[in-house]
Amino acid sequence: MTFTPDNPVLPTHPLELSEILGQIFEQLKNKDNASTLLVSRRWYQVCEGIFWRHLESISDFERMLVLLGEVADIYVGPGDNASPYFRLNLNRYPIHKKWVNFEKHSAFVHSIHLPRLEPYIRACNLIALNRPPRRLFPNLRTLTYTNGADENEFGIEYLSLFMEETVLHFCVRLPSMDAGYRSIQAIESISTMTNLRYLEVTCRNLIKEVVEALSGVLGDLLKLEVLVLPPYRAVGTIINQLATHGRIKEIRSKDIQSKAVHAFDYSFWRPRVLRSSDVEEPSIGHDAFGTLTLLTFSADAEGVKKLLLNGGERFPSTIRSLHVEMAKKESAQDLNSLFHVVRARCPSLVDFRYSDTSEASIPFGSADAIRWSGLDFETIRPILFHSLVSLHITHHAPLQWSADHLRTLASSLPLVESLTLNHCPMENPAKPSPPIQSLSSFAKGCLNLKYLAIYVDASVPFTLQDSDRQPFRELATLNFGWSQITRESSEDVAVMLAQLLPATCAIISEQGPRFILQAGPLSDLWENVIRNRNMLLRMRKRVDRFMIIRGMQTEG
Amino acid sequence: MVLLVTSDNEQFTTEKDIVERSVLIKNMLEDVGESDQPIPLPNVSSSVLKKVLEYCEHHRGEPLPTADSEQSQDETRKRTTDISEWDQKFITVDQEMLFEIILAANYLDIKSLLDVGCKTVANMIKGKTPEEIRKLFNIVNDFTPEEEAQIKKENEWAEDR
Repeated sequence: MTFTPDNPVLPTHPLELSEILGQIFEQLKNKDNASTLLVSRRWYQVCEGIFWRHLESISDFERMLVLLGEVADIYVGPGDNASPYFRLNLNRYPIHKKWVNFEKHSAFVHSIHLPRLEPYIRACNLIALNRPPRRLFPNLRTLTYTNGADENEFGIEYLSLFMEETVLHFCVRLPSMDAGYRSIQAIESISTMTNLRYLEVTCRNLIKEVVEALSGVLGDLLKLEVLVLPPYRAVGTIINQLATHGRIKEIRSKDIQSKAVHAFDYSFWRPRVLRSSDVEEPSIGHDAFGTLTLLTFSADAEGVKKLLLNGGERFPSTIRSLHVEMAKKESAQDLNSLFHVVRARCPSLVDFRYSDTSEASIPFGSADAIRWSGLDFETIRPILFHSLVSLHITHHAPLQWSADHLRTLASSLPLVESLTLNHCPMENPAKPSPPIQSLSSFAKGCLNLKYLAIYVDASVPFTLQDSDRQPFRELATLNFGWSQITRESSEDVAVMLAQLLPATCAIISEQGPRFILQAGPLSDLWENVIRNRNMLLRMRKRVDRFMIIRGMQTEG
Repeated sequence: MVLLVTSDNEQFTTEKDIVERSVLIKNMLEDVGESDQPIPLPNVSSSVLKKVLEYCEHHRGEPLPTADSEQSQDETRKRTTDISEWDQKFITVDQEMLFEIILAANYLDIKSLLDVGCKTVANMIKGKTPEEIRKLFNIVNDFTPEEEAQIKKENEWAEDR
């Protein structure tokens, strides 16, 4: 028997094949495709659809709008303070011929990354009043609006113009609480996108009323697979609404404000959590969450325990990631009890995150120090599953752990690749532990670690013993968060990091809130450390090269 | 082992897991089951197949792209013309060979190789004017001056910014 391939005739040149040409054009930016359009008729035919497929920038967006009218800045405001408020001047309602041309091109559009809509509200208004009774973008799959302003964003009122039933992937950044009713209006419009698979809502401070509106909308989104909300907003009201959805796989949170998810929102002087009394407790009913793999929710310790325990046998065994966001400070005893429940109910967990929030107390002075309570190692011991690949702990106070505890942690988590150990504690940042030198023995036990965020005490000068030099093998990022460091210790730290980390490992420190900076400009000191460590690496490389050449000359 | 026969009648014996990066060949082998019969590849010359097999051998064992991953790429799309160092070196060939490799990758259904080829052509196009592109690939401009002016006018928005 002899094989005969189905298609023995092959074109002699790949640029004659539309599918290959299309794949080439897909790789290019619109600026380059503006040239490919003009190469030949064949190239134009293939490229036109690709050229209009993704509207990603302001110029892409205006390229679409200009089909309906003339783009011209109309300045509003007195003299020098005038701003281009109405970016598009349609002059009058677009005529039929222009709509035909618009629809010819808008049918190609698969994704739109909207610019801030405020400068276009006049154009949007005219389009809304004059649009044909058909979909504006009949093949739209992805819609993103993350460029809006935080305060008084009028543009968001017109977001619904672009919400098509065909959209599968939608991301929106809502204005903060000042624009509550506009946010509610935008959220309610989401229900028109009944085919949504991915919904991401971010905001600096999402108010309770918007969360409630969202919970109502979720009832219509039966095909939803992934929901992303701001921290502390996946509350019972939301969780319970999604519980019986047949396709939901992930409920996640995403913080756009800062790394310190438990921080106060200083611009509004309000805590960033919804109080337990404002929201329902999450619960698991019969046959709930059969497809879920990642569950994030916000509740107090009692609420979390109830969720896990009341689910009983029904608690989804598919869950591999559990992210718990505590709505208030909890005692070590309650947390320990909760972690025991997590261990018992989620045996296949590979990713666990726990963050508590500082609801109101901010340590402005030493008198506040007595109020914080650290998270001791024994409290978290129950969640040290051997199978964990990722463990993130965010707590209001620094972890009161010793070098021995770090060693125990490393040996308890042989598979761990990502560790966040409270690198930005909001309270009492002046007294962290463990000391930075303990990273050396810690590295020995964490062979697979790729990401480490940790709060250490790097403020005391030290000398690293030869026996302690155990480098990390795989570490790609080391984040020291708000770790304390002093001018006196910075040289020792740089030398240690040059020895301890792979050359490709990035070191990060983070700028803390103002009250954290009372100890001095930490980020400057960490920047010095990073610079010095990089210099040491470069010098070592040059010395090594010199030694090799020297060795070769000696042999010769 | 699998025996492949090229358009110029040269025979190549190679391991199954190498050649199975080609979806075409993989499907053919699955359809027929265990067999010693040679697989004719009438559209691929020996010089090109040698290059293709070199690529497949280097990427042996790597996961094949799935329909799911292609879809998610479309949704959270990031255009990139980055090519790995090895692939870059591999694809540094003359234009004729480049196009033959692309045709072979398309015919044999080796998605990752086709991707490398298309990215390479895209990199050649980047930053060039229509006239420079025509010259590079020996393409005739078949637009009328009116058509060309109309397209230019429609798309000047993208050119300017």
